[in-house]
Amino acid sequence: MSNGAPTLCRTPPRATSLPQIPDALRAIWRSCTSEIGDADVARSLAINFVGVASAAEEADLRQAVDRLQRRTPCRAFLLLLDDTTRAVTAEVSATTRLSGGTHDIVLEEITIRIPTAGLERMPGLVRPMLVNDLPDHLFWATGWPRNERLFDDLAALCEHVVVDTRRFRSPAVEIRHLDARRQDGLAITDLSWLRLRPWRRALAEAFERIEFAPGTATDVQIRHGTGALAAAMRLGEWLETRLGAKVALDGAGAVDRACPNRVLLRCGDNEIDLQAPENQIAVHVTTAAHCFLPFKVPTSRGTDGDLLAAAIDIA
Amino acid sequence: MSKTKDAAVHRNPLGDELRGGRTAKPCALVIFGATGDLTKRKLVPSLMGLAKDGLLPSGFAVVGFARRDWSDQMFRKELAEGVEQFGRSDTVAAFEALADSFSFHQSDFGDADGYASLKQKLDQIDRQHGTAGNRLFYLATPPSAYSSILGHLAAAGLSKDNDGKFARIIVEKPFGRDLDTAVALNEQLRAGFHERQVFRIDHYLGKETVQNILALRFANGIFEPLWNEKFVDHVQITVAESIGVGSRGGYFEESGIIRDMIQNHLMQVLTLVAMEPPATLSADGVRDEKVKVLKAIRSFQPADVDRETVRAQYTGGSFGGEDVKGYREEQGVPANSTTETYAAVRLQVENWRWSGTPFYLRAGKRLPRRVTEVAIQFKQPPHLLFQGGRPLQSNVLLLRIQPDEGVALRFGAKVPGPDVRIRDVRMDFRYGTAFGGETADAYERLLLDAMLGDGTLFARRDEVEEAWRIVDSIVGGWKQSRHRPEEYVAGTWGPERADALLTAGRQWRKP
Ligand SMILES: NC(=O)c1ccc[n+]([C@@H]2O[C@H](COP(=O)([O-])OP(=O)(O)OC[C@H]3O[C@@H](n4cnc5c(N)ncnc54)[C@H](OP(=O)(O)O)[C@@H]3O)[C@@H](O)[C@H]2O)c1
Repeated sequence: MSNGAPTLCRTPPRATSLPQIPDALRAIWRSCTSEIGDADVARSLAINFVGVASAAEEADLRQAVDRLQRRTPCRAFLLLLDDTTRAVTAEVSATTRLSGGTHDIVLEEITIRIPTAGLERMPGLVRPMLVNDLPDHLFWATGWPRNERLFDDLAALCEHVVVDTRRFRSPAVEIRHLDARRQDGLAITDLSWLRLRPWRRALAEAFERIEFAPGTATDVQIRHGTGALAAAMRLGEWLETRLGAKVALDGAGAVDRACPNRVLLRCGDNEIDLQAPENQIAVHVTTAAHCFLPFKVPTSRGTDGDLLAAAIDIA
Repeated sequence: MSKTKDAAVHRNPLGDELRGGRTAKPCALVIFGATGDLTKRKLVPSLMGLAKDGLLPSGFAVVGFARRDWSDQMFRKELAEGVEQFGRSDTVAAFEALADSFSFHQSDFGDADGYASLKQKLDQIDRQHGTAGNRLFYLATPPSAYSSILGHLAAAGLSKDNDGKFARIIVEKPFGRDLDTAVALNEQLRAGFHERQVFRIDHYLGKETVQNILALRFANGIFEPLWNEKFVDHVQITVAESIGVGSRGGYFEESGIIRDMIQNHLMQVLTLVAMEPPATLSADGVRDEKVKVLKAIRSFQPADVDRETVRAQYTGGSFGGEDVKGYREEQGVPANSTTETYAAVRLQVENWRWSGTPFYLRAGKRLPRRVTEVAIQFKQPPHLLFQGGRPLQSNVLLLRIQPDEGVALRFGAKVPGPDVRIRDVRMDFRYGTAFGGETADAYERLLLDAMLGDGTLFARRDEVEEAWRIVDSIVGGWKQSRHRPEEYVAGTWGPERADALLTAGRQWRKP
């Protein structure tokens, strides 16, 4: 039933200087053609992608781009912030996918390592290299910047921005800065929100089993670890708006989780208790008349890369 | 949307989380023939694909109905193996989470008590799993069992939609073996179920690329103006298999390729290619237009069948480096068999849009490659400016359904240099590259649609019967014909006589 893994080949990264990036890209095209010999080579790109992460987050960003590319072929600029050096370096590589006797270039990767302050120059560098007529997406895969202009200038380059508030250092404050931009019309998708999809779905399913009268006093406790503060805040805001609930966050949950550990909701005689000890959310619904067998929902719909691909799909 | 659904959504303050995607109402799925191959290879792995993508309702349970003396545990173990072997990646965890919702019900299809106890079991499942009284029955059984199951379901009161609770039934092909048997089956279905409760599965319609035919035609402005007899010279629809009949010789002998492939898959693809734009994408909006295409195809007169069709059997040969048997040497096939393993048919859709544009359908076993495609061959320009050199082929728009799913366009381009020379080149879009990732199996989409009550991708009674009318007229002509089926060597593109079907310089493609 599954289609099997496609055959992907990645060219070795080729070091270059910033002004030479367009030439290096052309050279890589030619090398794909000659290495592959007689087979046809085509380029199938669906988006331009700009990813920003700290050097320490490089592996996560690359993994995410690898997942993204499988669904959405792209020209990707990976901007890696490294404040331990003043040097700026660049390299390019390409990934091809073999399908039906033809190699398609599905990823053109331009990696630039720069000190954070150097990010200022990036919009001017990237803009002329965006492939025409394709949608442009920014993935801000790191903490909220001290100098917000760095974010704004790159965001202005793209029609859609993906952030992961899980990576914010002080989500309570920084999420507000982000949301102010959303209110100003910037299209933003937060991976913390997408990660909560199984929780939102489970809560919605639980509400199918109870009678809810609007205005019923509703109390919610969300237990989370430090890694899930942003997610807990997002979920709490949602329940406040939708149910008029009083929400209490309790930060004593398991630290390594990206989502809450438990959500306990009481409204009238009904209790909904979601617990996620491992990879499943077990949902217990109790009403005055009924105690249903718990139902289970998997907690995750894939890796961060899958979430990124979904964010771009729905943008 | 029904009144009850409105009320439910109003009551659920988070309901849009369920409506955002395509989320089905809670239900219990009863699979008749649950120890069989289809359940293990396709149905349960597909259900787990839906679970993985968060598309199953939380109130969901499966009851397997078959004869064997299996416990719930045994049933789950078999299914877990199936999911592991045939499921998409990461579906094993989904099965583990849901395993408690699978139970086994041992009974013979002919035993009325088995249905009474099934009813009790389903009531209990409603209470335990929140399946809300909704039932979906799946006939994954030999067709000979349909009649008994349908009769017992109706007698046990399990076939009625009641108080906003649904009862639906999914039927696997074959839907009869000719028009009479199809009508008889449809009558049996009608005795217990309303047509809107019946979902006849043709898994071809669940394929993304088949659905893409509608998207390509009706979501783009550039193709539809050319999609008619003025610009299209002819259409070729090919379903080629490289395998022979193998151990299914006995079964195949009863059907032949025309019943096995053309009556269902090829006719369905034909209707999507030839139909008029529907007013809406509702199930009946689309199916009304599809059935009009079939109605516009006249039945063949026996005397015309030898001219308008070709049937053939493969003979032994060397295929993929191995010696393979001819059809009449296969296990379960009599030496004097006349059952066709290849058929090609020229059809005329006699309506305003297609008058005079032939549709060529062919299907065969032991052809060189496994491929399904639709080729729209355009007419040559009225005046050929660029002559000399190799004769130019006409433009072809190719819809590849499997493998390498995608769309390609062949057109002439100038060869660089001082001379004016034109060469055929190809512009190619491949699904796998543009959208990548793992595509869901056709059964996933179809199971979800049945749970949602959306019949768009299922064959309606009149479609099935119209397709049989056409096929019966061909089979009738073959029966009266003085000629035996032609022969073709395994691993070739069919018999030579098939070339004669294509007149006016046309040629079969070698996909
Ligand atoms: N297999 C596929 O991939 C595939 C693909 C497309 C369509 N189909 C269609 O799907 C249908 C089922 O195919 P299959 O391959 O799954 O069939 P199968 O492997 O032969 O299974 C038949 C099932 O029916 C049960 N059964 C037969 N007679 C019974 C009776 N009197 N009482 C109770 N149970 C009975 C068997 O149960 P016990 O074993 O317990 O007796 C078994 O579970 C067929 O119509 C086929 O044409 C199959």
